[in-house]
Amino acid sequence: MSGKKQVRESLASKIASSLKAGVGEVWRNNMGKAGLIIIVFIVIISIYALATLPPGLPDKWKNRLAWSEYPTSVPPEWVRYFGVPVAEHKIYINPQTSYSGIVTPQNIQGALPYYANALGLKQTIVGYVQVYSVEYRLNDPAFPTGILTLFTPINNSVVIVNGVERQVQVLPILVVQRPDGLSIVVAQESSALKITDLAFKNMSVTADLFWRQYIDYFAQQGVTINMTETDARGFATQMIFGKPLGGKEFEPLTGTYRLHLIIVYAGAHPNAIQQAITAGQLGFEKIKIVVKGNAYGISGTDNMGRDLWLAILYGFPVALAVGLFAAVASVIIGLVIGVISGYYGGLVDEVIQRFIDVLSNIPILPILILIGVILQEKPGVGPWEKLFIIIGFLVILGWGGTAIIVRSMTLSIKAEPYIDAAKAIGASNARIIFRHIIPQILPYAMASLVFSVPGAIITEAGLSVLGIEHGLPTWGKILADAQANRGIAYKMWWWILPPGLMLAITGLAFVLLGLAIETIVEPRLRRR
Amino acid sequence: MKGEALIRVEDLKVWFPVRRSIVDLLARRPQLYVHAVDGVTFEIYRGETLCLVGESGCGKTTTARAIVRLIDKENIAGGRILLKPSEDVLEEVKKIQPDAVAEEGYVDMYKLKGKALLGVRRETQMIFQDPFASLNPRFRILDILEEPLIVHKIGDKEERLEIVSKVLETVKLTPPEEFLPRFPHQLSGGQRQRVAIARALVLNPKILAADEPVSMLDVSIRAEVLEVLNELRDKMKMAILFITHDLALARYVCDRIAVMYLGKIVELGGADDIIQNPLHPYTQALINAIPEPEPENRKKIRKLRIKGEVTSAVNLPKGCRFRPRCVAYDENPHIQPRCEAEEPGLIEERPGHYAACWLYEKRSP
Amino acid sequence: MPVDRRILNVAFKRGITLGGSLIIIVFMTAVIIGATGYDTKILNALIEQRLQALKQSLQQREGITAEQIQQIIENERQRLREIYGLDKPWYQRLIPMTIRTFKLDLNVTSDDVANVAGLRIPVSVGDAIRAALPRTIIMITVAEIIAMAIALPLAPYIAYKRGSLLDKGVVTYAAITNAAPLWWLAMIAIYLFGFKAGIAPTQYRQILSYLKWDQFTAAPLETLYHVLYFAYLPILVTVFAFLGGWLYSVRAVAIRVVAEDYVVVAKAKGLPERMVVRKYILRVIAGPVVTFIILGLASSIQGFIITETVFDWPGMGSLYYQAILSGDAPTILGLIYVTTLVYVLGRYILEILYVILDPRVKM
Ligand SMILES: Nc1ncnc2c1ncn2[C@@H]1O[C@H](COP(=O)(O)OP(=O)(O)OP(=O)(O)O)[C@@H](O)[C@H]1O
Ligand SMILES: [Mg+2]
Repeated sequence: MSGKKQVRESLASKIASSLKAGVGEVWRNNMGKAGLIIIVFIVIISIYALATLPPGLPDKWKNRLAWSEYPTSVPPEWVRYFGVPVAEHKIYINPQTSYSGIVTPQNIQGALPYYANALGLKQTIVGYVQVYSVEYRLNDPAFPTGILTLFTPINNSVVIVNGVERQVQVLPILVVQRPDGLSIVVAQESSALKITDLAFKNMSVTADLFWRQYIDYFAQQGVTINMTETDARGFATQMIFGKPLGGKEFEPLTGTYRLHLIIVYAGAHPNAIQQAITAGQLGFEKIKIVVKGNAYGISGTDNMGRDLWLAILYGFPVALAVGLFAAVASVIIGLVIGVISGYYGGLVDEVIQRFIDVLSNIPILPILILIGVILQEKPGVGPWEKLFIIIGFLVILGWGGTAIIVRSMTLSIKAEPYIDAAKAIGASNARIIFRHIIPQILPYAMASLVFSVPGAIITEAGLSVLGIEHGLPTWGKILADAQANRGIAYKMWWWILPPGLMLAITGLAFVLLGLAIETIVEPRLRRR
Repeated sequence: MKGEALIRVEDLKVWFPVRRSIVDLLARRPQLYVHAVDGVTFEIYRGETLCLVGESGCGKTTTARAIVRLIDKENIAGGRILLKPSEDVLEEVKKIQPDAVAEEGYVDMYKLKGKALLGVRRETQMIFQDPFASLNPRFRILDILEEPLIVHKIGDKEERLEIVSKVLETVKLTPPEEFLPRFPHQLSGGQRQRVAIARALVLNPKILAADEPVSMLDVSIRAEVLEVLNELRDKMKMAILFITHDLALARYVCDRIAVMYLGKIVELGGADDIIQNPLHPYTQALINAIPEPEPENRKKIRKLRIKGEVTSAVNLPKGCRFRPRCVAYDENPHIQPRCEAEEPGLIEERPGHYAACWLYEKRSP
Repeated sequence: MPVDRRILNVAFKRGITLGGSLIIIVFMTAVIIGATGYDTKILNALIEQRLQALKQSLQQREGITAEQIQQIIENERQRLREIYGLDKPWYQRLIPMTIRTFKLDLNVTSDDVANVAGLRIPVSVGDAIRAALPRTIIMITVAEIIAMAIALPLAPYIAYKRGSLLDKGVVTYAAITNAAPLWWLAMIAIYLFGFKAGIAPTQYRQILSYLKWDQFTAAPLETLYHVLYFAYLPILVTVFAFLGGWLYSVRAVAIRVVAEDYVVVAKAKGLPERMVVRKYILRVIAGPVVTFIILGLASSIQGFIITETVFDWPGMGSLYYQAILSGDAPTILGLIYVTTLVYVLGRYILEILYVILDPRVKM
């Protein structure tokens, strides 16, 4: 009796075992194996992306200001291994204080020699001064693309003198001390301001401060630099990190640079300020100095400084969701309608067939674009909602092909005597459809499902490129921005190559898997 | 012999429309039909096997399919099929669908629907002609045999397994455990045919249409399986419609034989009667074609009592449909006008032995 | 059924369904545009813009009172609203709009759309399409024909050598071109050939100034050179992308034939490969291949919206895109009509060809 029992399988275990057998068969096929491996990778990356990416990324992606700390339009860092000289991107948080004390015109030479001897417009420094210093090593002959200083002052920074709150004002100055010994004042506020106002300021370098002195200095060394003020603005970092060769030519100056951020406090007695600072009532919670490199991260940045790697990562789960949802939905609709059309025949069949006739003549892409543009104008539709409405239309317009093939398969299965046999024992239509017909069609449906994944992903990305956007940072979105900035973006391979490559690899995985399933299913189809 | 008829087929007509084109429609050309079954009347009694014989394409399978209601309603061009179900089922039909109940405890097969139909189906089964195609290739033998039980909600898992094993033993597929997990393609042709038989028997039907059920079996198993059918018929008092084109087999299996030609029964009578004393020229030709058992007689060249090719079932000739192939027509000029003018009905030439031929007209009252 | 009657039958039946599809598709597009209020918004903005210009010019004139200006403006507004049909609700515009679409009797409303066509407003939708069509043919139809011309003779041999290294290479190539979007290949091509190597243009809109008939007759060689200079990269990329699909699908059809008994027998008889291919395979695959060719050519004139946009190639695809972006309903409808018409005609011809070529085919 136990032998007999083993014969019986539950429906679930039947499906599981046939799925297992199917996967096994695909695995034995080389194309199928390659496809499966890539898909497993994509799934793992998707999970990783969902787990690690910040939830606010879509909003941050749209916010131009959120990317000021990143270098703009730079390639990925690993280009260094292909012999491209790279100036490292470095972020210094809360650098060490190299000096603090009172500075007067008399002692400045001793206290802040790099400032006293620096090129550039200098203010008269009187008062309590703190200096934060960092070192930046430029190993390769390459120019960094900027320096940025960000401040987070202590909340409500005040000094209390004799029980009276005194407003303290500060003047931040950034000096770069080059490996050749030359110092340059690269950034400074034009006048002192309230310390709390610094929270809203990013201090970046400007050639306005030093360009004239710089040219004079090198003229004395015998190098003639031909530059107007406007020219100079575009060459600020090259002037700071380079050796002039004459004209407008610069050569990167390798070596160790020291960056000194000088904060001059005013508005109260220096001793009171010092006390307040040591008491933690005055000063900065956080100071960040960023030397922007000429390369960034794994995937480089776009012209807004956005880290493309983040969007590449984000693109994985979105692509999977788009592809699988569209494919599964359109194949299920095609399967159900095709089976109904073939099984019930008659008027139902006629109506469905004529409907599919109309559907198959619709120019899909223009209609999708039209719907997308209309959707674009509708306020209050969230990004995921927009995405799935567009995919929904893709599905609605796209199930016809599957339905036609499923219908013809249903017709031929319906004519099989075993269907008659099932009818004769009294099996219901539902039973015949679900137990006898659909299991025969399922392998084919599987192949057609897998094949329609890349199409859906590519179409969705293509719509993005046309500006039909849902607002999510995806591969399509990266390419869309490239298209919008085609004049500069098409020169930057790291902007256009990786997202398309991801699209192609993902698509390829499913095409390979589909080909494998097809070669397995095809002889079976023919045998019937 | 006479008893209660379980199946009554009354002037059954099954016509399949020939597809028309738009042009035909516009030209108002009449719809043409394949007259697969064209006015067939017979009864099968409780405990009786009626054999339906005839050449390929004459409508045997269509008749059987009509009885188990596998023909679409719109293809039934006329007539009725009345079945006598068991008391319980009849009661149920009376309750849920009184309009499908005909006179004398019969139900009209083509008026039934839904649950009432399901109840009748349980007692009406068919063994299909092609055992290769009538088993779902993706079903194990257990699934195939269990399906009728599941559909009719009979027993729990254990009980169903029991029933299925028993029926496999009945058709001599033993031990059952060996066959239950197999797929049809793992069986031989004969084994499949027995699975097809088992599937029809698993519900203990009262009425069975067996469409050439033993054509794939070798002689030894054939005899055994036929014996099983006979036993079941006697024990369960089944009515069996047995389709074959082998007259010798028909004589062995059946009580009565109906000979079919182009959708019509041309001769009906007791099995021995028909074999020994065929009346209709077509039956005579068929019996003539049976190889002689006596070796010395076998060498005698027999005159073939038939001419020409099978006529198309779409455009039937006027008058007797066998006329274009009939040797008797040529030999009997006196009936020729009759044959040309009118289709003969079944004429009772001897008690219980009918023939549809004008040759026998004047002798009948 | 005799063949001629069946041809009539198919011609009639399919004519009705395909013609019906065409009408339904154009009508539904008009419904989408109308019901969402998508075109009215843009038309209203357009009218206001013109009225603003009118107002300014009136104000410069002497001896005209504010009331008079107001009056003139109101009249003009009324007139414009009538011209654009804004005086009636959208569903009343629907039928006349659809009928005028079928007559190609509508005018382009957006300047940007006219620019893509290389023309100036006022211009009819028909003229805009007539201007854009040759450019799409030069890029996409030509590419389609080149890909066909390479694939048709090659694919049967590949099928014949199923499983060989060449065969595997072709399948892989086809899989890759299937997975990589054409418009992305276009971006990469612009990067590589345009920006890196500098041997192709990076802007393609300029082809507008060379692709002119009178220029061609005046200086044929020079014009041809210019046109080729702009067209070669788009054509090359498109051929690269299409070829995979063509090779694969023709190969797939041919493989089925190769496995047929009579071909196997011919092979076994030792007939030379060339002969087997020519005598058996090419003849049998003709049917499906004709399908691919006709449908391929018929859909090629739609242009490739995304790829043309990437190249900034002023063809049908760009026209489509610009029309949709600018809410130019007449042009959208006109394009939908013309491209669907050509596609439907292609299918119609095909289905009649099926009956003529293969009398066994069931309907
Ligand atoms: N569904 C159908 N549609 C159209 N014609 C049919 C259909 N079923 C059967 N026929 C036609 O009806 C006639 C009778 O067919 P049927 O299958 O009943 O013959 P048969 O006597 O069983 O023959 P065989 O001994 O070969 O099995 C044939 O001419 C057949 O072509
Ligand atoms: Mg039969």
